[in-house]
Amino acid sequence: MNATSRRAMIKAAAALTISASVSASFMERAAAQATEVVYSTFLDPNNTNDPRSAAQTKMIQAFENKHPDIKIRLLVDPTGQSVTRAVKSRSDTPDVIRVVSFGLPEYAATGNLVPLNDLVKKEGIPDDDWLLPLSTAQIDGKLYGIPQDFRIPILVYRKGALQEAGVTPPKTWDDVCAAGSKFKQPNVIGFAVPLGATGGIGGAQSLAEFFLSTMLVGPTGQYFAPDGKIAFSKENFIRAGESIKDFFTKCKVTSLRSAQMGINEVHDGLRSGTIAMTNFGLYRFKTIQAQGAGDDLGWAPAPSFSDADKQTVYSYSIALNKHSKKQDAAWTFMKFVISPEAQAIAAEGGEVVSRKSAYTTPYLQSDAGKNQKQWAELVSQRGRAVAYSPILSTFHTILGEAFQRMVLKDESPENAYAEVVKRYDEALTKAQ
Amino acid sequence: MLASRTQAATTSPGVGVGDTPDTHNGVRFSWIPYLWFAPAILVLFLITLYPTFFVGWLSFQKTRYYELTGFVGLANYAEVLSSSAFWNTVFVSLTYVVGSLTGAVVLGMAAALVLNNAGPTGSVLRVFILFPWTLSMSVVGSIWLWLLNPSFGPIPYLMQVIGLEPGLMLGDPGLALPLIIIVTAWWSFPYVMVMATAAMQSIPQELYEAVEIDGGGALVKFRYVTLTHILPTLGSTALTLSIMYLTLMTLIIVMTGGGPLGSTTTLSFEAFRGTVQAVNIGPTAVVSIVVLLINVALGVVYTRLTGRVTG
Repeated sequence: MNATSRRAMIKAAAALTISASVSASFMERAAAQATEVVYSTFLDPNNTNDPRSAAQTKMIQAFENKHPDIKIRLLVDPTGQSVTRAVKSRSDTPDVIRVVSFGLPEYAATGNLVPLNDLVKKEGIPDDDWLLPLSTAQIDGKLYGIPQDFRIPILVYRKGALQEAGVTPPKTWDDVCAAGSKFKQPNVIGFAVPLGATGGIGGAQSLAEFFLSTMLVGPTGQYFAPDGKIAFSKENFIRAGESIKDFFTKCKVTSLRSAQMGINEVHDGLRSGTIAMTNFGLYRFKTIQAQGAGDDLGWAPAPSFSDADKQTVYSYSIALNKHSKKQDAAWTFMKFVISPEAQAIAAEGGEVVSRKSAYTTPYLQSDAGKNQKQWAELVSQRGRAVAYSPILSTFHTILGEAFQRMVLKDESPENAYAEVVKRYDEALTKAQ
Repeated sequence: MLASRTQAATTSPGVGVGDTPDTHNGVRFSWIPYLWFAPAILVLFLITLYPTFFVGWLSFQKTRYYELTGFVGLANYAEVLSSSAFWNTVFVSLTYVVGSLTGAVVLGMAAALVLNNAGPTGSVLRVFILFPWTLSMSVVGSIWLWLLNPSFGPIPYLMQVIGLEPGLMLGDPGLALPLIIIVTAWWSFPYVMVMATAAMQSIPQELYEAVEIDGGGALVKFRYVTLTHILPTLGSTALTLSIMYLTLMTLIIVMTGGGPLGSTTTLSFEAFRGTVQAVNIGPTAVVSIVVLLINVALGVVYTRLTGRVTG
């Protein structure tokens, strides 16, 4: 190599270094200019087994492509504990919070969420393009969260177990009770009612979510009053208590083993076939199928006192942190998440997305989205929203213990009601 | 100037820049060592002492979530200490600690004694036995939740095979705590085994030979040589584990959630649940202070025992 070419090479390298430095500096500045919005979610983007995570990643990518000046950083919080602490301690992050609607009053009570009524009105977001009207998501007249998807309890069952027992999917609680004598296999629970304290918010969440939030409300539609007091009637409680106790003791459709179960034990029972049927979350249906139940897993509308009763529906909602320093960017992201475009992407993950207009997309018209479409119809026809307690996790704990005492210690439903009311009122008074 | 400083350093070690004369005994006081310790003391204060003092302060306050809303004196203490639920939780906690410790010490000692005389096989087995100790508590909880599941768990199945009625297992209020104790002992006994083995290997062989010459059997060897030598180590190990058990809650969260009917609700679990659920966390801070006081008491005993071990 001669001296001239060596000099040329040095010059080229220097030029390359300078241009690389300049580009890097521009890129850094561009990155620094992008606003970072922290979004809390229970869906881990690294979980390749959960189609909802993949849909979430796709949805965020679509947003960032549309808004290159905003970057979304995920705060993955499967249990919700970190977000709960953040909201209660007035943290400025996460900016956008994905929260289950029955946990929303607990967050709203801290005063650290932005009421969204004005923003929704200003953007012209319609009230009627939702499976349930947007106004039903309000807490004491204020909209703290906008639903991303809806969840209604469904009856999930193993087709083979029901066929072997000669049972058709029950439509009423009386049908459930009547099925008790037909299940003969010793290790199969005919109809599981989980009373256990593990999993979920405050323990016994499955009992409240899939059974009592509907049974206690009855035809009146009152669960909790706006001031947080119990609004369901004593009659409804006793009726629910008697029915559930009968499942364990008189009808024998529910084994005592079910008293220890939480949501995960019921999930395992359904996939292993040791539970023939139960009320469960539609959001786990696909997963249980994939984990071994396959085509043997079926679903039907959840049983109730009469076959046309309303069922309590809840949603995963998106809320805005009042102490966020990036509220404009956060609201831009929120608007996208609840847009029909983003909802169509989320639907591919298996969620019953909340916007009606998202249901015209090819995926939800296909066979793959058939169940979701039917669940959406069920939400629209038989769903109703109720008001929840601002200390719901405490209520779940109290409720679970009262029902366990009723079943395991043969307490009466009247005593269980008295226990729930006394302990809940004490807890609410302390909280206020 | 330089000469005088050199002279001072030579005549009185440790005296130099920053020294001030001690008028009482003529020895100069130096703040330099404190300066060197300052970063460590600051870190210790920030990560250990400040949160502890804050919880203590919190126990005299009324709060709205994490916001202090007013000083209430001893009201939180009166509320907690007059509650029968609190004393029930104390009883559950102590039963859990004593039960788990007994199980872990007995199993750990047995494993140490057997494997100490098993030659190379013992070394290999020791590695396998350490396995539970290496697992995270949530994994241990999940494994045992499956093993004890009354519908499809292997343990209830085997019980049925041999004609025993497994019952509700963790769903039985009378059985849940003993089962959690067994699982805790299973998880932690390898720690006892390792500590006991280390102590046993430091016992001079001559002592055993002396017992043999005097006609003593295995029991005498164990009672007067092995146990006498390993007792201080065993004591400090037991105290370390007690402190750990008292603050442990992952296993309880995973396996029972404190139920059924509060039968596995320990003080630490209650403190955790209270912090997450309650609006006023002042009473929860009292529960934490009670755990702290019990641990400090155990710590004092531990320090004394450690002193015995080290000299």
